[in-house]
Amino acid sequence: MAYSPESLMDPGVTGLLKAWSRGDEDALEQLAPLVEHELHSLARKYLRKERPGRSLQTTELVNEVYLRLIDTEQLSWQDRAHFFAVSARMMRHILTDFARSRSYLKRGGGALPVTWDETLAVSPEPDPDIVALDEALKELALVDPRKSQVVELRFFGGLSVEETSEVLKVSQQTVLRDWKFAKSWLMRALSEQIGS
Amino acid sequence: MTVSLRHIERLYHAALELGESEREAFLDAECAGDEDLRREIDSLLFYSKYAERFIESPALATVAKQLASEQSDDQAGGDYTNAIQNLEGTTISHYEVISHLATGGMGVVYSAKDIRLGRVVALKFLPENFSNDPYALNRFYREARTVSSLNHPNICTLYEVSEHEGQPFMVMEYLDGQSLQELISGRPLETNQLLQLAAEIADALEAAHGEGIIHRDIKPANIVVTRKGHAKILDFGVAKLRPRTKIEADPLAADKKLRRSQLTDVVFENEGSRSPALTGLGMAIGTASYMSPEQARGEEIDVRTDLFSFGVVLYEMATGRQAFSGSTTAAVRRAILTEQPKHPLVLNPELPHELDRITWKALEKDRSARYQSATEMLRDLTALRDNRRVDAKRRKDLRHLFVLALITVALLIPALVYYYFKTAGSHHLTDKDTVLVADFANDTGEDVWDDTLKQWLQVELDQSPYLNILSDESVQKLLHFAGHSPNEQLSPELARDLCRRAGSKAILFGSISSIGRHYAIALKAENCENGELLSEEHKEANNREDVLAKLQEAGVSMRNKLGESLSSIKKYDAPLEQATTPSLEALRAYSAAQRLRQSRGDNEALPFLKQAVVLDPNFAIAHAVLGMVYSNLGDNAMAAQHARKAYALRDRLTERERFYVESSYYSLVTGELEKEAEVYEQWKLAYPRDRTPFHKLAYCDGFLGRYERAAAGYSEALKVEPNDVVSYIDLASTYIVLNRLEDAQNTLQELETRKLEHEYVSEVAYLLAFMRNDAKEMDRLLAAADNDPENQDILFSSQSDTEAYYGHLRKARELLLRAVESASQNGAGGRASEWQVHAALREAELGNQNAARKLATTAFPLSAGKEVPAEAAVAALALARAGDITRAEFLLRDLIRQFPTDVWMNRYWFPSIRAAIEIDRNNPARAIEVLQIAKPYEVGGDPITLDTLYPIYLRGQAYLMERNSGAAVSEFQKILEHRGRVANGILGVLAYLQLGRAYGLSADASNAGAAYQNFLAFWKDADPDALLLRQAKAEYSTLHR
Repeated sequence: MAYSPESLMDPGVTGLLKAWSRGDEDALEQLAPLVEHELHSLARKYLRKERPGRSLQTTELVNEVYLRLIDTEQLSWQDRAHFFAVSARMMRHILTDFARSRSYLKRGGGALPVTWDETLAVSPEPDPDIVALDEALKELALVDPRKSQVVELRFFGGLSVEETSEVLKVSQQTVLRDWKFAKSWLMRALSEQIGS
Repeated sequence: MTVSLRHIERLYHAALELGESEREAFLDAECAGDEDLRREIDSLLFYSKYAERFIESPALATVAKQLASEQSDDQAGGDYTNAIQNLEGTTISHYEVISHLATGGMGVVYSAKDIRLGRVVALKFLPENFSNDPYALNRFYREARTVSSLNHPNICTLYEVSEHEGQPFMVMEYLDGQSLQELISGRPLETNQLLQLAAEIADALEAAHGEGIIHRDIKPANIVVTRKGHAKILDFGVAKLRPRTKIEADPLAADKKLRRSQLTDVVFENEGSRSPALTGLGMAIGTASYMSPEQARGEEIDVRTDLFSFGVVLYEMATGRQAFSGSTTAAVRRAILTEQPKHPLVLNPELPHELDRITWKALEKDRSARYQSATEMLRDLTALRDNRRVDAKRRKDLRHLFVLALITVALLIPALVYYYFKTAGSHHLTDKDTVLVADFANDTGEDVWDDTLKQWLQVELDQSPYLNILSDESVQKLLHFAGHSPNEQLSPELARDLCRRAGSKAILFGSISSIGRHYAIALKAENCENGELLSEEHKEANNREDVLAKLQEAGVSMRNKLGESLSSIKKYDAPLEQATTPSLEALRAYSAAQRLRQSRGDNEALPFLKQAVVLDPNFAIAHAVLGMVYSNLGDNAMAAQHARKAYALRDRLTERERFYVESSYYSLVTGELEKEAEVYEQWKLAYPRDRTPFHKLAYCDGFLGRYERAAAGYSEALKVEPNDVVSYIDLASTYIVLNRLEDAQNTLQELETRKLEHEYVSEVAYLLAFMRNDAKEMDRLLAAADNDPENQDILFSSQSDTEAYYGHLRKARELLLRAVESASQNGAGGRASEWQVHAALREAELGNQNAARKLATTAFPLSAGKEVPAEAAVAALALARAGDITRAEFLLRDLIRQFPTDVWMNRYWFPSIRAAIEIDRNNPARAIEVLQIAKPYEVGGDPITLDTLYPIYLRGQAYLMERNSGAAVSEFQKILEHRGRVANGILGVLAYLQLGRAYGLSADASNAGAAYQNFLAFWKDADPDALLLRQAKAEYSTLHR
């Protein structure tokens, strides 16, 4: 299913999002393949080394994908916030399931002596284990729901600080502080999973 | 979090706004006293440093990237520009790149030729990303600096650091060889090579540590073995330069807990179980399996970390296996922190013991217990290496000598050659050989193993009818004779000594020691005559729970090796855990109890037995023994209870234990004497070396009045177990019953010679003295009883009987009171009531009905529905004889309900009680009728029992009532004939009186007169107001009218 510019801003996707936000589980199932398609497309770009490897451009690209998926123009102002939240949540679901099913645990695991040599330590950015992060985020939500939302919106939803502050109706300063704290908290949670 | 999140947040943000130095003070102030809060903040602040770029990239991108890296193997998660990937053939600076050697976490490595110097070198490029990563770059240059500061033959030399198109690279010594990892490849290294390499590595570490450098990533992959066989350590990339702060220069200081925020360098965890995550956070760590515990915990490390890792490497070199492994990094980490690997020696028995020790010491989890420096380790390794050289040389020399000698001998005396080759093959014990089991040597420091293993082993070996294990009693005797205390520990020397004294053939030594969480169990059988090794067993248990199973295995194997047929093993081998108990503590209590039974007596052992069944309510054999002990102590109710319990659990027992349990069930619970005897018959057949069935069968025979057989049985029992005190006592009393007083005397003498003790010895001696009319001896024994306050009640009661026998009734009552008091004070409540009801019956016979009633009813509370003890039978009879029929019948009914199958109750007591009731109701015919079933049992009973021969006496009385002179005489004569059976019981003297009356009926004045005279002779000093005295005198005088 290729996305031609015309098919961008597919009203279908927005419609699916709307439906899902109203509790239609099937809608999510229909959304998933669309997102995954974008995922693969992105991955291919990585492989071809089309992107020079800096975060900035990555974000832009991802935004692009979001924009492709969601016709934000269609949404009213009130809807926007809601839909951002919804889409972030949706992303979280889909990506977590995707990561789980792909079992990234194949790498480095197995019955033989485990080494984590620096092969795996190459990226300048620590790549979190999405599944683990999802779990940790659930934990955080128990302690402080708003911080969990901030993370979900920004990390899964790709929203900017400004957009996040709009969705959550708090100041940008608050979003930043929440974000900072939440990252420390999550990183600790992920590290301390070891051995448990 | 108990502390409020808001508060933590506030502090967190506030702290971050401060500089590092101010932060400390701020937090000190804010968190004063609240350790939890401080810990919380510290950890969050710690992670905040690394969280900067955490999840800044949206999830979609992250997943896509992971997806991409998965789909491409070459990438290995990294992005390399073509520039670095394909350098072969190109020229970089003054190097001609020859070949790509490796790509890995450390970067890309090429071989190249130094154009200027003509030598081959290795070029190591940093991965592309790192060139933009300040952390990585930093590390790169730091590695360069540290390595260049080192100059050691066993450390890979760094020549220079340069750059190519913005990509930095290192120029290093080219190593022609293979990594240690490849060399090992799952097989242990040859020891000489191992020691050589190990010494070199230690040497290199010593040098590095001397420069303040800790490698932190020692592993086989980082050690190269050159073609010439030398070790070279690589990859000081994660090496840490020891900061020059005072506190860390002292490795011991690192043991003190430093707060996270003080750490500058961090060893970071890497959870690899789900995905390659959270890595590259500035400091990559060594491979999971080689990490030290402190690294795994993320603590501050010091040189000893390298020593641990080196230990792990040593382990692998020595065994071919990894010391710590697991399917996930979490599992590996866990192993490092909490588990002990198998000793290298276990995996590779060829290993020199010293090397095992060295490796083990290096692997100490507590670094203060480890080698404190590479120098120490190096010293030990080189010493070992050097000694081996000497030994090897020596051995070579010896071997030459030996061969020379051998040839000489071979030439000269062919026959002797055979004996040169001494083998410790299996040796067989013949049927008659006895084995002494010495105490188990317990090196574990855990005293749960004291006693229990020996006990367990004995149980296991006991199962064999072909191995005769020297009993604890015999061992104690031997100890005594050897001048030692009976409870002394059997050291090997002492055990050997005893073994020889006993004429035993073999001695069994056991030992248990711990190796971390593993246990090593060893059994050794030695011929104690000459010390020759007969057989050996070694087992290793993984944990506590496994020890007993392994011991059993060893026991079975030992039995096998010592010459048992396999068929015997199969038949007699019940799984020990089922047979005895899976609870070590319970077994321990039981062991202690058995010991005490032998050395001190039942009373002492009781609490331990009780404890054993508390710890394991299903401990069948403990219940059975408890039953026996309670029975001995006079508490029949408890005895029955436990015997019942044991019986219910009999399926899980070994055959022998089953015999014990079944027989005690029949004995204590159902009283089915014949069934009990049957069990003993079988037991004798299966285990002809056991004294218990002999003894018990003899006892049963005695009970059934078959005293000759009983005596023979006891003698046999004593042949099997010459130190069984109970057999002596029962045999002596049996001889007394049989009126074989000489034999009884000899038996008691034997007891004394063997210095055997028992609470009833005095009593038997006393009765013997009574039978011999040896007043002096009786007095002596009584006086001696004062020295045995625990058991003096037995003698008091007996003396009380003697006094009554002679009509000294007041004295008799006095002594009875003393007996009851003494017994009550000693907690032998069962005995107290026994004396009391016995006295009640005596008073009844003496015509003192009130006294009889009082004693009978106060002996124990009589309430409807409650379980009455067996003494109630005596009480019932006493009440019946005293004319209190209502209560007598009441008790009788209860007894019938309670003892439906008990032979003794049903054939002795119930008929007697019934007869007494009928006699009181003036129904002599009926009385005679009910006494019919008692006939086979009326002379039997426990040899030392009281109130014997009642059916005969009562029958006699019934005949008297019927005025059947002849029959009455016959009965009372019987009593007198069985003098030994009644001893100082009142019926013994009253029989004369009754005999007089019986003869009187037929107007046989002379016989009657003789009888009365006999009675009055005994009662010449009797209390003047004694009823029977007056009666007897009156009746006697009428005879001569």
